[in-house]
Amino acid sequence: MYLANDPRENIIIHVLLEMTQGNFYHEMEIADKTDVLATIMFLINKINEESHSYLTRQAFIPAREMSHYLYPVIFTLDEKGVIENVNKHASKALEQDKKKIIGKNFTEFMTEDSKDLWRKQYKRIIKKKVEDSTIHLEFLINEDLLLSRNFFVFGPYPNPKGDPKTIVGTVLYSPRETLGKGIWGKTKGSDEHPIIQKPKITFKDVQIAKMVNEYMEENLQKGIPDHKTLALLHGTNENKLKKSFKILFKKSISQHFQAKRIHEAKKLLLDSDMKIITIAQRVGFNDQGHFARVFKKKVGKTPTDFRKGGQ
Amino acid sequence: MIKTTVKTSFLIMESAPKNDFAEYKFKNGILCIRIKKKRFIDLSAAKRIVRDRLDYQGGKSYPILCDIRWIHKFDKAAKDYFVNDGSHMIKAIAYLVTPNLNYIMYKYFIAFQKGTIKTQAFLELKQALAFLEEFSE
Repeated sequence: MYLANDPRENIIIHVLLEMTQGNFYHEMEIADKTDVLATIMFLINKINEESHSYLTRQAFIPAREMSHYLYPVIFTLDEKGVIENVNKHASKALEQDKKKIIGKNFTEFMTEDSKDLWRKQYKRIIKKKVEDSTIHLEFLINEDLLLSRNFFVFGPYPNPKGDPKTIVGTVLYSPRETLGKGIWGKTKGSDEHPIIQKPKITFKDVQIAKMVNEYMEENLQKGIPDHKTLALLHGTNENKLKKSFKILFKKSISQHFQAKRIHEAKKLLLDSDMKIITIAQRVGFNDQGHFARVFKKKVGKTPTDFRKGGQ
Repeated sequence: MIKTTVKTSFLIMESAPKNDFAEYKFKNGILCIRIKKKRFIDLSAAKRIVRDRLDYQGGKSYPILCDIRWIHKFDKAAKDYFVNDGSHMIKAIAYLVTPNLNYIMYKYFIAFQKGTIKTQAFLELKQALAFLEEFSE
Protein backbone atom coordinates (compact mmCIF):
# COMPACT_ATOMS: atom_id res chain seq x y z
CA MET A 1 0.00 0.00 0.00
CA TYR A 2 1.46 3.35 -0.95
CA LEU A 3 0.37 6.38 1.05
CA ALA A 4 0.73 9.35 -1.20
CA ASN A 5 1.00 12.94 -0.03
CA ASP A 6 -0.20 14.05 -3.42
CA PRO A 7 -2.55 11.93 -5.63
CA ARG A 8 -0.19 12.50 -8.53
CA GLU A 9 2.38 10.34 -6.74
CA ASN A 10 0.08 7.34 -7.22
CA ILE A 11 -0.17 8.07 -10.91
CA ILE A 12 3.59 8.35 -11.24
CA ILE A 13 4.09 5.04 -9.43
CA HIS A 14 1.46 3.41 -11.66
CA VAL A 15 3.20 4.57 -14.83
CA LEU A 16 6.66 3.63 -13.57
CA LEU A 17 5.40 0.14 -12.78
CA GLU A 18 4.00 -0.14 -16.29
CA MET A 19 7.35 0.97 -17.66
CA THR A 20 9.16 -1.76 -15.73
CA GLN A 21 6.99 -4.20 -17.69
CA GLY A 22 7.98 -2.61 -20.97
CA ASN A 23 4.81 -0.60 -21.50
CA PHE A 24 5.85 2.82 -22.70
CA TYR A 25 2.59 4.08 -24.12
CA HIS A 26 1.10 5.84 -21.10
CA GLU A 27 1.09 9.56 -20.75
CA MET A 28 0.29 11.56 -17.62
CA GLU A 29 -1.94 14.61 -17.71
CA ILE A 30 0.02 17.49 -16.23
CA ALA A 31 -2.81 20.05 -16.51
CA ASP A 32 -1.80 23.51 -15.33
CA LYS A 33 0.65 22.52 -12.63
CA THR A 34 4.28 23.57 -12.87
CA ASP A 35 5.77 22.27 -9.61
CA VAL A 36 8.37 19.57 -9.07
CA LEU A 37 5.89 16.72 -9.45
CA ALA A 38 4.62 18.22 -12.71
CA THR A 39 8.21 18.44 -13.93
CA ILE A 40 8.83 14.80 -13.02
CA MET A 41 5.63 13.79 -14.81
CA PHE A 42 6.71 15.72 -17.90
CA LEU A 43 10.11 14.00 -17.94
CA ILE A 44 8.58 10.55 -17.46
CA ASN A 45 6.19 11.26 -20.34
CA LYS A 46 9.15 12.17 -22.51
CA ILE A 47 11.11 9.07 -21.44
CA ASN A 48 8.10 7.02 -22.52
CA GLU A 49 7.96 8.76 -25.86
CA GLU A 50 11.65 8.35 -26.54
CA SER A 51 11.70 4.73 -25.34
CA HIS A 52 8.66 3.84 -27.37
CA SER A 53 10.22 5.35 -30.46
CA TYR A 54 13.53 3.67 -29.72
CA LEU A 55 11.91 0.28 -29.40
CA THR A 56 9.83 0.51 -32.50
CA ARG A 57 11.97 2.45 -34.92
CA GLN A 58 15.62 1.85 -34.18
CA ALA A 59 15.59 -1.83 -35.09
CA PHE A 60 15.54 -2.75 -31.40
CA ILE A 61 12.59 -4.88 -32.36
CA PRO A 62 13.45 -6.72 -35.57
CA ALA A 63 10.95 -5.96 -38.31
CA ARG A 64 10.19 -9.63 -38.91
CA GLU A 65 9.17 -10.04 -35.26
CA MET A 66 7.09 -6.88 -35.16
CA SER A 67 3.81 -8.79 -35.14
CA HIS A 68 4.67 -10.28 -31.75
CA TYR A 69 4.83 -6.82 -30.24
CA LEU A 70 1.68 -5.36 -31.73
CA TYR A 71 -1.20 -4.61 -29.42
CA PRO A 72 -4.15 -3.61 -31.67
CA VAL A 73 -6.82 -1.59 -29.88
CA ILE A 74 -10.16 -1.79 -31.73
CA PHE A 75 -13.56 -0.21 -31.10
CA THR A 76 -16.64 -0.98 -33.18
CA LEU A 77 -19.24 1.80 -33.11
CA ASP A 78 -22.83 1.93 -34.26
CA GLU A 79 -24.12 4.82 -36.36
CA LYS A 80 -24.73 6.93 -33.25
CA GLY A 81 -21.17 6.51 -32.04
CA VAL A 82 -22.05 4.06 -29.29
CA ILE A 83 -19.52 1.31 -28.63
CA GLU A 84 -20.87 -2.03 -29.81
CA ASN A 85 -17.76 -4.05 -29.23
CA VAL A 86 -14.10 -3.79 -28.24
CA ASN A 87 -11.24 -6.24 -28.38
CA LYS A 88 -9.37 -7.36 -25.26
CA HIS A 89 -6.52 -4.92 -25.86
CA ALA A 90 -8.91 -1.97 -25.90
CA SER A 91 -10.32 -3.11 -22.59
CA LYS A 92 -6.82 -3.48 -21.21
CA ALA A 93 -5.66 -0.13 -22.57
CA LEU A 94 -8.60 1.68 -20.94
CA GLU A 95 -8.14 -0.42 -17.81
CA GLN A 96 -11.85 -1.16 -17.77
CA ASP A 97 -13.87 -4.33 -17.97
CA LYS A 98 -15.29 -4.96 -21.44
CA LYS A 99 -18.83 -4.89 -20.02
CA LYS A 100 -18.25 -1.39 -18.65
CA ILE A 101 -17.20 -0.12 -22.07
CA ILE A 102 -19.79 -1.68 -24.37
CA GLY A 103 -22.98 0.34 -24.69
CA LYS A 104 -21.30 3.63 -23.75
CA ASN A 105 -20.75 6.50 -26.12
CA PHE A 106 -17.27 6.50 -27.60
CA THR A 107 -16.65 10.02 -26.27
CA GLU A 108 -17.29 9.02 -22.67
CA PHE A 109 -13.69 7.93 -22.17
CA MET A 110 -12.09 10.93 -23.86
CA THR A 111 -10.73 14.23 -22.61
CA GLU A 112 -12.91 17.28 -23.28
CA ASP A 113 -10.70 18.47 -26.14
CA SER A 114 -10.85 15.08 -27.81
CA LYS A 115 -14.63 14.94 -27.42
CA ASP A 116 -14.98 18.18 -29.40
CA LEU A 117 -12.51 17.01 -31.99
CA TRP A 118 -14.25 13.64 -32.40
CA ARG A 119 -17.71 15.14 -32.72
CA LYS A 120 -16.57 17.57 -35.41
CA GLN A 121 -14.69 14.90 -37.32
CA TYR A 122 -17.47 12.33 -37.05
CA LYS A 123 -20.00 14.83 -38.43
CA ARG A 124 -17.69 15.54 -41.33
CA ILE A 125 -17.13 11.82 -41.94
CA ILE A 126 -20.89 11.15 -42.03
CA LYS A 127 -21.66 14.21 -44.16
CA LYS A 128 -18.92 13.72 -46.72
CA LYS A 129 -19.02 9.91 -46.51
CA VAL A 130 -15.27 9.73 -45.87
CA GLU A 131 -14.38 6.09 -45.34
CA ASP A 132 -10.80 6.28 -44.18
CA SER A 133 -9.36 8.94 -41.92
CA THR A 134 -7.11 9.41 -38.92
CA ILE A 135 -7.56 11.48 -35.82
CA HIS A 136 -5.45 12.20 -32.76
CA LEU A 137 -7.42 11.32 -29.63
CA GLU A 138 -6.74 11.32 -25.91
CA PHE A 139 -8.47 8.86 -23.60
CA LEU A 140 -8.61 9.42 -19.89
CA ILE A 141 -7.54 6.40 -17.87
CA ASN A 142 -7.67 6.38 -14.08
CA GLU A 143 -8.45 10.09 -13.85
CA ASP A 144 -5.06 11.53 -14.74
CA LEU A 145 -3.47 9.02 -17.07
CA LEU A 146 -3.80 9.55 -20.79
CA LEU A 147 -3.74 7.27 -23.76
CA SER A 148 -2.79 9.72 -26.47
CA ARG A 149 -2.51 8.24 -29.94
CA ASN A 150 -3.34 8.62 -33.56
CA PHE A 151 -6.39 6.51 -34.32
CA PHE A 152 -7.49 5.26 -37.73
CA VAL A 153 -11.20 5.58 -38.47
CA PHE A 154 -12.79 3.23 -40.97
CA GLY A 155 -16.38 3.91 -41.79
CA PRO A 156 -19.18 4.24 -41.45
CA TYR A 157 -19.19 1.30 -43.81
CA PRO A 158 -22.40 -0.32 -45.02
CA ASN A 159 -23.39 -3.40 -43.08
CA PRO A 160 -25.60 -5.91 -44.96
CA LYS A 161 -26.90 -7.29 -41.67
CA GLY A 162 -27.91 -4.01 -40.11
CA ASP A 163 -26.92 -0.39 -39.48
CA PRO A 164 -23.63 1.04 -40.74
CA LYS A 165 -20.64 0.46 -38.48
CA THR A 166 -17.49 2.40 -37.77
CA ILE A 167 -14.22 0.87 -36.67
CA VAL A 168 -11.79 3.01 -34.73
CA GLY A 169 -8.43 1.70 -33.68
CA THR A 170 -4.80 2.19 -32.97
CA VAL A 171 -1.75 0.06 -32.29
CA LEU A 172 0.27 -0.09 -29.12
CA TYR A 173 3.70 -1.66 -28.83
CA SER A 174 4.85 -3.66 -25.89
CA PRO A 175 7.83 -5.92 -25.60
CA ARG A 176 6.47 -7.27 -22.30
CA GLU A 177 5.18 -10.55 -23.67
CA THR A 178 8.27 -11.17 -25.68
CA LEU A 179 11.12 -10.48 -23.32
CA GLY A 180 12.20 -14.04 -23.99
CA LYS A 181 12.85 -13.24 -27.62
CA GLY A 182 14.77 -10.73 -29.64
CA ILE A 183 17.90 -9.25 -28.18
CA TRP A 184 17.30 -10.51 -24.68
CA GLY A 185 17.65 -14.14 -25.65
CA LYS A 186 15.68 -17.09 -24.31
CA THR A 187 15.35 -18.40 -20.81
CA LYS A 188 16.67 -21.90 -20.35
CA GLY A 189 16.91 -24.28 -17.46
CA SER A 190 14.35 -25.72 -15.11
CA ASP A 191 11.51 -23.85 -13.44
CA GLU A 192 13.34 -24.05 -10.15
CA HIS A 193 16.66 -22.85 -11.45
CA PRO A 194 16.08 -20.85 -14.56
CA ILE A 195 19.19 -19.84 -16.42
CA ILE A 196 18.69 -16.41 -17.86
CA GLN A 197 20.98 -15.70 -20.75
CA LYS A 198 22.90 -12.48 -20.77
CA PRO A 199 21.39 -9.96 -23.13
CA LYS A 200 23.06 -10.04 -26.53
CA ILE A 201 23.81 -6.34 -26.15
CA THR A 202 23.38 -4.14 -23.11
CA PHE A 203 21.57 -0.84 -22.79
CA LYS A 204 24.98 0.86 -22.68
CA ASP A 205 25.92 -0.77 -26.00
CA VAL A 206 22.72 0.59 -27.51
CA GLN A 207 23.52 4.08 -26.22
CA ILE A 208 27.04 3.90 -27.63
CA ALA A 209 25.75 2.70 -31.01
CA LYS A 210 23.34 5.63 -31.00
CA MET A 211 26.23 8.04 -30.30
CA VAL A 212 28.30 6.51 -33.09
CA ASN A 213 25.29 6.84 -35.39
CA GLU A 214 25.09 10.57 -34.56
CA TYR A 215 28.87 10.90 -35.00
CA MET A 216 28.48 9.44 -38.47
CA GLU A 217 25.77 12.00 -39.32
CA GLU A 218 28.11 14.82 -38.33
CA ASN A 219 31.06 13.42 -40.31
CA LEU A 220 29.59 12.35 -43.61
CA GLN A 221 31.97 14.58 -45.53
CA LYS A 222 35.05 14.11 -43.40
CA GLY A 223 34.65 10.38 -42.98
CA ILE A 224 35.04 8.18 -39.93
CA PRO A 225 38.22 6.63 -38.52
CA ASP A 226 38.93 2.91 -38.63
CA HIS A 227 36.53 0.79 -36.58
CA LYS A 228 38.94 0.23 -33.72
CA THR A 229 39.55 3.96 -33.26
CA LEU A 230 35.84 4.70 -33.74
CA ALA A 231 35.00 2.27 -30.97
CA LEU A 232 37.66 3.60 -28.61
CA LEU A 233 36.54 7.18 -29.21
CA HIS A 234 33.11 6.18 -27.92
CA GLY A 235 34.20 4.13 -24.95
CA THR A 236 33.85 0.63 -26.29
CA ASN A 237 35.78 -1.97 -28.27
CA GLU A 238 35.63 -2.89 -31.92
CA ASN A 239 33.91 -6.26 -31.46
CA LYS A 240 31.13 -4.87 -29.29
CA LEU A 241 30.53 -2.00 -31.65
CA LYS A 242 30.36 -4.31 -34.69
CA LYS A 243 27.94 -6.58 -32.84
CA SER A 244 25.71 -3.67 -31.78
CA PHE A 245 25.50 -2.40 -35.35
CA LYS A 246 24.64 -5.85 -36.69
CA ILE A 247 21.86 -6.28 -34.15
CA LEU A 248 20.44 -2.76 -34.20
CA PHE A 249 20.93 -1.64 -37.78
CA LYS A 250 21.26 -5.03 -39.50
CA LYS A 251 24.40 -3.76 -41.21
CA SER A 252 28.11 -3.62 -40.68
CA ILE A 253 29.56 -0.29 -39.53
CA SER A 254 30.86 0.50 -43.03
CA GLN A 255 27.57 -0.45 -44.70
CA HIS A 256 25.63 1.71 -42.28
CA PHE A 257 27.91 4.69 -42.86
CA GLN A 258 27.66 4.33 -46.59
CA ALA A 259 23.87 4.08 -46.37
CA LYS A 260 23.84 7.36 -44.44
CA ARG A 261 25.96 9.03 -47.10
CA ILE A 262 23.65 7.86 -49.86
CA HIS A 263 20.60 8.93 -47.86
CA GLU A 264 22.02 12.45 -47.44
CA ALA A 265 22.94 12.54 -51.12
CA LYS A 266 19.35 11.69 -52.03
CA LYS A 267 18.07 14.56 -49.86
CA LEU A 268 20.49 17.01 -51.46
CA LEU A 269 19.62 15.83 -54.97
CA LEU A 270 15.94 16.42 -54.36
CA ASP A 271 16.03 19.51 -52.13
CA SER A 272 18.83 21.57 -53.66
CA ASP A 273 20.20 22.75 -56.96
CA MET A 274 23.77 21.78 -56.05
CA LYS A 275 25.91 20.28 -58.75
CA ILE A 276 26.37 16.56 -58.46
CA ILE A 277 30.11 16.91 -57.94
CA THR A 278 29.39 19.23 -55.01
CA ILE A 279 26.93 16.77 -53.52
CA ALA A 280 29.42 13.97 -53.98
CA GLN A 281 32.02 15.96 -52.06
CA ARG A 282 29.48 16.93 -49.40
CA VAL A 283 28.86 13.29 -48.64
CA GLY A 284 32.51 12.33 -48.69
CA PHE A 285 33.21 11.18 -52.24
CA ASN A 286 36.17 12.91 -53.90
CA ASP A 287 35.46 11.40 -57.29
CA GLN A 288 32.13 12.02 -59.02
CA GLY A 289 32.42 8.83 -61.05
CA HIS A 290 32.94 6.71 -57.98
CA PHE A 291 30.03 8.44 -56.27
CA ALA A 292 27.77 7.81 -59.27
CA ARG A 293 28.71 4.12 -59.38
CA VAL A 294 28.09 3.60 -55.67
CA PHE A 295 24.85 5.58 -55.86
CA LYS A 296 23.56 3.54 -58.78
CA LYS A 297 24.46 0.30 -57.06
CA LYS A 298 22.54 1.24 -53.93
CA VAL A 299 19.62 3.14 -55.39
CA GLY A 300 19.24 1.57 -58.84
CA LYS A 301 19.52 4.90 -60.65
CA THR A 302 22.29 7.34 -61.41
CA PRO A 303 22.21 10.56 -59.38
CA THR A 304 21.07 12.48 -62.47
CA ASP A 305 18.21 10.10 -63.19
CA PHE A 306 17.24 10.08 -59.52
CA ARG A 307 17.06 13.86 -59.49
CA LYS A 308 15.03 13.91 -62.69
CA GLY A 309 12.68 11.26 -61.32
CA GLY A 310 12.04 13.42 -58.24
CA GLN A 311 11.56 10.51 -55.81
CA MET B 1 27.01 20.51 -39.17
CA ILE B 2 26.25 19.97 -42.83
CA LYS B 3 24.34 22.92 -44.17
CA THR B 4 21.75 21.96 -46.66
CA THR B 5 20.64 24.43 -49.26
CA VAL B 6 16.92 24.15 -49.13
CA LYS B 7 15.32 24.43 -52.54
CA THR B 8 12.41 26.56 -51.54
CA SER B 9 11.10 29.71 -53.03
CA PHE B 10 10.18 31.92 -50.15
CA LEU B 11 6.85 33.57 -50.05
CA ILE B 12 8.00 36.95 -48.87
CA MET B 13 5.49 38.09 -46.29
CA GLU B 14 5.35 41.72 -45.46
CA SER B 15 2.65 41.22 -42.86
CA ALA B 16 3.13 38.75 -40.06
CA PRO B 17 1.91 35.22 -40.80
CA LYS B 18 -1.16 33.93 -39.03
CA ASN B 19 -1.54 30.37 -37.86
CA ASP B 20 -3.13 28.56 -34.93
CA PHE B 21 0.11 27.93 -33.09
CA ALA B 22 2.35 30.96 -33.03
CA GLU B 23 2.48 34.73 -33.38
CA TYR B 24 5.31 36.48 -35.19
CA LYS B 25 6.66 40.03 -35.24
CA PHE B 26 9.90 41.84 -35.92
CA LYS B 27 11.40 44.09 -33.29
CA ASN B 28 14.69 45.91 -33.93
CA GLY B 29 15.95 43.28 -36.34
CA ILE B 30 14.94 40.40 -34.08
CA LEU B 31 12.20 37.99 -35.04
CA CYS B 32 9.94 37.42 -32.05
CA ILE B 33 7.85 34.26 -32.03
CA ARG B 34 5.35 33.51 -29.30
CA ILE B 35 3.86 30.03 -29.01
CA LYS B 36 0.16 30.47 -28.29
CA LYS B 37 -1.51 29.21 -25.15
CA LYS B 38 -2.93 25.73 -24.76
CA ARG B 39 -1.80 24.43 -28.14
CA PHE B 40 -0.73 20.88 -28.79
CA ILE B 41 2.31 21.11 -31.01
CA ASP B 42 2.50 18.00 -33.17
CA LEU B 43 4.43 17.42 -36.37
CA SER B 44 2.02 19.28 -38.62
CA ALA B 45 2.00 22.24 -36.22
CA ALA B 46 5.81 22.21 -36.09
CA LYS B 47 6.02 22.23 -39.88
CA ARG B 48 3.56 25.12 -40.06
CA ILE B 49 5.46 27.14 -37.45
CA VAL B 50 8.77 26.65 -39.27
CA ARG B 51 7.32 27.26 -42.72
CA ASP B 52 5.66 30.52 -41.67
CA ARG B 53 8.85 31.63 -39.95
CA LEU B 54 10.96 31.00 -43.05
CA ASP B 55 8.43 32.74 -45.29
CA TYR B 56 8.31 35.76 -42.99
CA GLN B 57 12.11 35.94 -42.95
CA GLY B 58 12.13 36.08 -46.73
CA GLY B 59 15.36 34.14 -47.20
CA LYS B 60 17.36 36.11 -44.62
CA SER B 61 18.82 34.92 -41.32
CA TYR B 62 17.78 36.59 -38.09
CA PRO B 63 18.27 36.26 -34.38
CA ILE B 64 15.11 34.70 -32.92
CA LEU B 65 13.31 35.34 -29.66
CA CYS B 66 11.13 32.33 -28.94
CA ASP B 67 8.56 32.83 -26.19
CA ILE B 68 7.64 29.36 -24.97
CA ARG B 69 6.20 30.41 -21.62
CA TRP B 70 2.71 29.26 -22.60
CA ILE B 71 3.70 26.08 -24.33
CA HIS B 72 1.28 23.40 -23.27
CA LYS B 73 2.28 20.19 -24.94
CA PHE B 74 4.45 18.96 -27.76
CA ASP B 75 5.18 15.48 -28.99
CA LYS B 76 8.39 13.74 -29.98
CA ALA B 77 7.72 14.10 -33.69
CA ALA B 78 7.43 17.87 -33.33
CA LYS B 79 10.56 18.06 -31.21
CA ASP B 80 12.50 15.93 -33.72
CA TYR B 81 11.31 18.13 -36.57
CA PHE B 82 12.36 21.36 -34.83
CA VAL B 83 15.84 20.09 -33.99
CA ASN B 84 16.50 18.39 -37.33
CA ASP B 85 14.75 20.59 -39.86
CA GLY B 86 13.66 23.70 -38.02
CA SER B 87 16.90 25.55 -37.46
CA HIS B 88 17.56 27.06 -40.87
CA MET B 89 18.22 30.81 -41.13
CA ILE B 90 18.79 31.35 -37.40
CA LYS B 91 21.70 33.46 -36.18
CA ALA B 92 21.02 32.94 -32.49
CA ILE B 93 18.02 32.02 -30.40
CA ALA B 94 16.84 33.20 -27.01
CA TYR B 95 14.03 31.33 -25.27
CA LEU B 96 11.73 33.13 -22.88
CA VAL B 97 10.75 30.69 -20.15
CA THR B 98 9.18 30.46 -16.71
CA PRO B 99 10.86 28.60 -13.85
CA ASN B 100 10.41 24.91 -13.07
CA LEU B 101 8.45 22.88 -15.61
CA ASN B 102 8.74 25.32 -18.50
CA TYR B 103 12.48 25.64 -18.00
CA ILE B 104 12.84 21.85 -17.92
CA MET B 105 10.89 21.63 -21.18
CA TYR B 106 13.49 23.97 -22.65
CA LYS B 107 16.37 21.86 -21.25
CA TYR B 108 14.82 18.70 -22.66
CA PHE B 109 14.40 20.31 -26.07
CA ILE B 110 17.89 21.72 -26.42
CA ALA B 111 19.50 18.48 -25.28
CA PHE B 112 18.65 17.21 -28.76
CA GLN B 113 19.74 20.35 -30.59
CA LYS B 114 22.46 19.83 -33.12
CA GLY B 115 24.77 22.42 -34.63
CA THR B 116 26.34 25.50 -33.18
CA ILE B 117 23.58 28.08 -32.98
CA LYS B 118 24.02 30.21 -29.84
CA THR B 119 21.11 29.40 -27.57
CA GLN B 120 20.14 30.63 -24.13
CA ALA B 121 17.07 30.75 -21.91
CA PHE B 122 15.88 33.83 -20.04
CA LEU B 123 13.21 34.65 -17.50
CA GLU B 124 13.13 38.33 -18.49
CA LEU B 125 12.33 39.74 -21.91
CA LYS B 126 14.86 42.60 -21.60
CA GLN B 127 17.73 40.22 -20.98
CA ALA B 128 16.68 38.00 -23.88
CA LEU B 129 16.56 40.96 -26.26
CA ALA B 130 19.93 42.25 -24.97
CA PHE B 131 21.47 38.84 -25.71
CA LEU B 132 20.12 38.87 -29.26
CA GLU B 133 21.00 42.47 -30.09
CA GLU B 134 24.60 41.62 -30.97
CA PHE B 135 23.30 39.31 -33.68
CA SER B 136 20.92 41.78 -35.24
CA GLU B 137 22.02 44.17 -37.99
